[in-house]
Amino acid sequence: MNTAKNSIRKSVMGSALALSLLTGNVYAQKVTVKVQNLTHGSHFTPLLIAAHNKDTHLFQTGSAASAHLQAMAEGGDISGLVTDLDAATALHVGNPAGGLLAPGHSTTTAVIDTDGTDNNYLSIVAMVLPSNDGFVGVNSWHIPAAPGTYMMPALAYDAGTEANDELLGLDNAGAPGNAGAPGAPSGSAGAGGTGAAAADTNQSVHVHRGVLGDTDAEGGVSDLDSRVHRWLNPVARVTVIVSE
Amino acid sequence: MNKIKINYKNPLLLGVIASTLILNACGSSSNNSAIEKVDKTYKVTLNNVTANQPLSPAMVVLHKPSLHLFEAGKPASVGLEKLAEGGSNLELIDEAKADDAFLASKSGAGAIPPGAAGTVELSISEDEDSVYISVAAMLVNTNDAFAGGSSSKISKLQKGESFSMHVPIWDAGTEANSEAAGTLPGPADGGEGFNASREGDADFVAIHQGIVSNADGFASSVLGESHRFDNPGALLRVERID
Repeated sequence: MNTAKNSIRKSVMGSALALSLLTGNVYAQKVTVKVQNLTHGSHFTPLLIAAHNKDTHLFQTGSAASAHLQAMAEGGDISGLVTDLDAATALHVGNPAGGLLAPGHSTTTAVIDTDGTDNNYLSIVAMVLPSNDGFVGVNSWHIPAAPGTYMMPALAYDAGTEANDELLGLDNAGAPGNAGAPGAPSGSAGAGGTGAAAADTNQSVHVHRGVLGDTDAEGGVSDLDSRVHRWLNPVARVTVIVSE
Repeated sequence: MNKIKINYKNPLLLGVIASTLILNACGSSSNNSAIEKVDKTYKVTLNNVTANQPLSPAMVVLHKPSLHLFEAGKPASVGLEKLAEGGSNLELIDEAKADDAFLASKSGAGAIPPGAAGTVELSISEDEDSVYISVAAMLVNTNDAFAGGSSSKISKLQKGESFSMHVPIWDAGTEANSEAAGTLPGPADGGEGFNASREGDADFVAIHQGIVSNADGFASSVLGESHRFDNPGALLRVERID
């Protein structure tokens, strides 16, 4: 197994630090992942949940988005990222919710069996709707060797690839490079906005500054509703069950 | 009444005495040994993950647990006020150096634009076994916001190991969040930095309530929607490289 190699590196996220330092020598191979949407009025497009090796990344904060990440963040298309994961012999679950994951709802993967592989890092992505290129993400969380239940908050990121104009109804808005947000499933959205923002200053993946919105359903700068479509971090809660 | 009672049974007190003796013993033996002392060296990276808030040069302090650059709910020191209002970390570094718990400090070479990272390296003696890290940098398109990480323990890191954490955005509580022309030192305004007055603000450190901006009905704000932020404002990565 890779026990020795994995115990060397303790690069972990936030509150998970204490948990992974308690890790014993038991090496577990089975993982299930539950994702709950904690937002008030934002849906997640089909989630991509992956167990992969330490050299694989769906995204990296502070680095430019890949074309495949851009397609996911702007239009919810995970097919390119799935191709990337297959090339790295990663394990993945696509679309566990069977469609959009509504606010407040959760979805759980089938068991991901990492036995005999070096796929000990967990990543999660899904687009946040409505947004231009916002996504919920977890990047390379080191799956602990010790069996147990681990919980972590997940942040909303901005892919840095599209202006946050917050406009709905534009042609083929979910295609990479096309302006506009591709939909607002929770309703309450307006029309006729003039555009909430020009191109991003920070064109690397960064923490999303949130939706601006406005309260004018027939005009204003944004087609999104500031009373419904705003969010604050964390936007999701991830629960990982590790068993032998 | 005026009888002084010495409680020899106090286990805490005895523990302190015992550990002092042990420390003294260690000190004398290591002085006599021929083993060369090796430094612990840490590479510290602060990544600006905001949309449009440059960070002032980051200050990084390594210290024992009793030092605090700031504490939630308590008034900012003058050094922190100067950092949070004007982006200068000189006085806050001086304050840290004057603390008994200080071990080492470094300031980054320059401002950290959104999407970029600043890196410094610090070394301390191998003998230090209780090492904490604190960091602070101003979000310069604000009145008195700073990204701050307070007292994370790093002494368990072995060579080659690293840990990462999210750094939240705090309000120093020393200047009202007017977002007004002439009050923000960053490129969005080019206004005033430090001002000694704390008039009009809470005078305690709290998690920042965010930027309102002129895009959200705050007509007198010089800030636009791109200057808004959510937490975290930065990512801190600490790697022990030696």
